[in-house]
Amino acid sequence: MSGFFDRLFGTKRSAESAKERLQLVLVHDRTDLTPAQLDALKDDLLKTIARHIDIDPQAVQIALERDGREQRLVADIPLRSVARRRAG
Amino acid sequence: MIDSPAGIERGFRNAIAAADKVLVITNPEVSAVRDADRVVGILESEEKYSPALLLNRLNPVMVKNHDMLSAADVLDLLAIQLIGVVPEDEGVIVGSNRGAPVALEPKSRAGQAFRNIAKRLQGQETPFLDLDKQDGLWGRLQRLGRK
Repeated sequence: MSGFFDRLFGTKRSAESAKERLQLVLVHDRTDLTPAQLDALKDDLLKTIARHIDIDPQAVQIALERDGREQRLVADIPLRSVARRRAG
Repeated sequence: MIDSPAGIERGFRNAIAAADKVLVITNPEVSAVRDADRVVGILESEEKYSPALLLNRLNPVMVKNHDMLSAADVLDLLAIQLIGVVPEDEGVIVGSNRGAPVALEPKSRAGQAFRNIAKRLQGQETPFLDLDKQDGLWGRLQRLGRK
């Protein structure tokens, strides 16, 4: 019966929490990277890329993603357009 | 067949050294699945490929109420092949008290699951048990409400 009320009020069921927690922890277990190390990696990546092209560091998204038993580091790095650079 | 000690210490590494097939046994709980993932990682690094997952002590009612990870959830997280799902069954404890293995108990659901796994290990295609089957009228009504 509790399931009914939880759905009614939009409370998250515990199995869903379990899956989310595991998704997070497994990515870090498999890569052996602490969140602090991952942040350091992101900073280094941004600095290196910024040396070559103009980017907006605030808009950059870098995350570890799971694909079966493989992990990948996925980066979405919007470039500042030449026109905006000239205007700015 | 070698029953490896729990954990990932020396005993586990000794047990897998000569293995040509590995079954990873886990429960649908966060800490157990996390340990199973570490085991699968070590198996990969030791080049023991394609381990199979045996999901033990699954409680179908809790899964239905979304209070237990389902077999599909665990498979998605671990990303290895499935060899069987054994439902939680008090008969396992009763059987071990009496010294009568549950696998030999014709009426036990867990026993049936173990017999099916044995068949799959021998290479016989065996359909997976429908763990929802025994849940009676109330369970069916609840599922209707969920749709």
